[in-house]
Amino acid sequence: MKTGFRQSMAWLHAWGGLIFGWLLFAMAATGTASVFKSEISDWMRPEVRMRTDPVDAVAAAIRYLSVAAPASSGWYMDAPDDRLAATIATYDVKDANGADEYRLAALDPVTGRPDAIRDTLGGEFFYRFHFELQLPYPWGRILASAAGMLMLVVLISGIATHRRIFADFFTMRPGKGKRSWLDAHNVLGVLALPFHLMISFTGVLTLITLTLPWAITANYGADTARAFADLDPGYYTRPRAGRPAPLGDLRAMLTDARARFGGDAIGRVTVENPNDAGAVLLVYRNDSNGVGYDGGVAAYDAVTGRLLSAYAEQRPAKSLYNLLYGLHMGRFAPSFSRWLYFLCGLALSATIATGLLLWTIGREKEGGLGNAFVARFTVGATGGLPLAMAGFFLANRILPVTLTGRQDAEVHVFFLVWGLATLFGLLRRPARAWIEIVALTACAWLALPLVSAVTVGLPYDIVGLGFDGVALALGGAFVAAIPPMLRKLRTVPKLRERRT
Amino acid sequence: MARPEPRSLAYRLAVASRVVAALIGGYGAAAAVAMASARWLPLSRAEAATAATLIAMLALPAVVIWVFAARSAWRAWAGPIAVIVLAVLAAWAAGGPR
Amino acid sequence: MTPLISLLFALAGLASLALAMPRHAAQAKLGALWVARAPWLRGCGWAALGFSLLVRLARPDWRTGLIEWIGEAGLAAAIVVVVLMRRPQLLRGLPAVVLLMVPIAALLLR
Repeated sequence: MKTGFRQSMAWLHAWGGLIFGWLLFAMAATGTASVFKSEISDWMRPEVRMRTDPVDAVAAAIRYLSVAAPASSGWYMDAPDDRLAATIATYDVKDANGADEYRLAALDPVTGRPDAIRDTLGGEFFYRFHFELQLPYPWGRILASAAGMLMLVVLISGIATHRRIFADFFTMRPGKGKRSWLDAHNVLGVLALPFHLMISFTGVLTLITLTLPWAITANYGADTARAFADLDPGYYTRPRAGRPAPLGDLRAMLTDARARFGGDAIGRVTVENPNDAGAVLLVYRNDSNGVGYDGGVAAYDAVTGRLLSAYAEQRPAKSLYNLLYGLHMGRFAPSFSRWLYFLCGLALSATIATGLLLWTIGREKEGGLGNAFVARFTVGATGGLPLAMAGFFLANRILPVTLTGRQDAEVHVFFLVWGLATLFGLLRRPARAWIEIVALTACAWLALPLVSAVTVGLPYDIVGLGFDGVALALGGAFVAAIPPMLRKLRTVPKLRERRT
Repeated sequence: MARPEPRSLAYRLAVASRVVAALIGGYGAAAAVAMASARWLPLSRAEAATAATLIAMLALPAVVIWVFAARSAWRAWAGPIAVIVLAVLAAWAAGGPR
Repeated sequence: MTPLISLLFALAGLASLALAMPRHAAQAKLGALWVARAPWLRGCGWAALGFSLLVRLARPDWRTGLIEWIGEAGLAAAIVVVVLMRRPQLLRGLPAVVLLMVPIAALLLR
């Protein structure tokens, strides 16, 4: 909003970044955690230790669900794989008032039962929060999409603002106040720029049929059933027949599906209309075998075992869409890619956080209520989030295993910590509140391996060791941030502090 | 464009005008481009819809950048309006849902 | 295996590119002889960086390789930034040391 292209872009970058900055930071941080969704889920359910063949595990899960949720409209299962030990089942049950209520349960791969497994959302919580923001459908998804789109605009305007992308490519000058924050913001933003652009573009794309359905409307009008059948031909669906019928030999169908996928692992398995003559078993190929989500799906009549349809995506435009979708999910094969995704996600979170700080630092001298609010709100809304994440993990280890509504209790701890941190940040002087929140965050992450060892025992596998390693590294990084902040607190003249 | 004092009413109105142009113009242009490309792309109708959505996704940030980079408020509004009018005409000319 | 080799080449390449820039050459206390050879250094840097990409693209899983390479190059650049921040003089030896590590890594991890 100033004359000249670069000035306009700088204005757009600053204000566009501010308006959804806090939300984007939360989305980036929880998205980064979601890279290790399966591993987090495993860590949060230390009771599941056995590993079995995915086909056996799903067959066991279906045996349990036939008893536990026979009247459900559908059972949705994620088969265990190399990364995930339990079968994750989602299904609807009628609650006390007769309304549909969705449940998520982890089922033991051997017995198919949820007994003795602590009730938790696991990594699914961060994954869901990342794009649903704990808001009712579809508002969370729409807000997340809008934030993602703004993020893309902010990135583009940021590139236009940055005068010396190549000259300053390796430049990081520590200990120089605002200059250093700007360097950090630039380096973190530029070095992982391809990732930042890719992840915001593909992120908006994952929800595009909800937010921008006009191309579909243009070609299909009101005939949405036809549109969905055309866009996703692998998804076979049919209405309930209304006649009860027992499920057929599901293990044989699952084994057949695996053979159809060239021996590759099965991924998501759904049973629609269970215990009805119209029951359908859908088996998707595991998504860790390639970048694009076009591995294939097979549909069976779940009563007779007859193959109803088999589909693998070949169409170029849809394949491109699947490729972009898969790029966002980052579930393709090697663990090395996942670590790179994780590091790039950390870089993105840090870019947003430093951007928010720069907004404040640039306006400290101006004073004013708005600037003071931004400075104070950023402390808890941004700084409080890693603390809330650690709180979520700690709750998983500390809350009694038999507690009813444990799944929700963990989530409540997350939001309680985040909310309290935000309140705390609003009440304290920012320079002090930052140190206190960061110190507390460091303590929480460093305590995590200890608390885990005391409550459930020492880590026994790579997931446990990796989790403790990441917790210690994050804790260490927060500790390392304290001394420079303390130094700054001593040198900053009190006069300026008093005005904000 | 003449640069009014920050925090003045004129400045705030100018900012509000561009924000509205970016929101409505950006989304409107994306929707219109999606509809026009969906009908004109020489692909099956499902494929055309998918490809058109991808194209529209590129149009949205481009329009937003245009709105904020434009030298005058007039140009800021003219860009998205031109895109919307042209795309809607193209979509209309291609006929109804195929 | 391939990821490590291409990461090492990317690191050598980006370190050379940084050394070819006057500001970072001064930070690394590079002699005048080397500063004069900046274009040569820059050429080697780009070559090593290009080779690290080639290592990933020459394999059947090149799609994953390309995606990982972009992340790897960013990681290598981040290492260069940290070296320049903490021990800038180490940057002088970095390209040579890293390139020496390639055959060692290839032998050890074969």
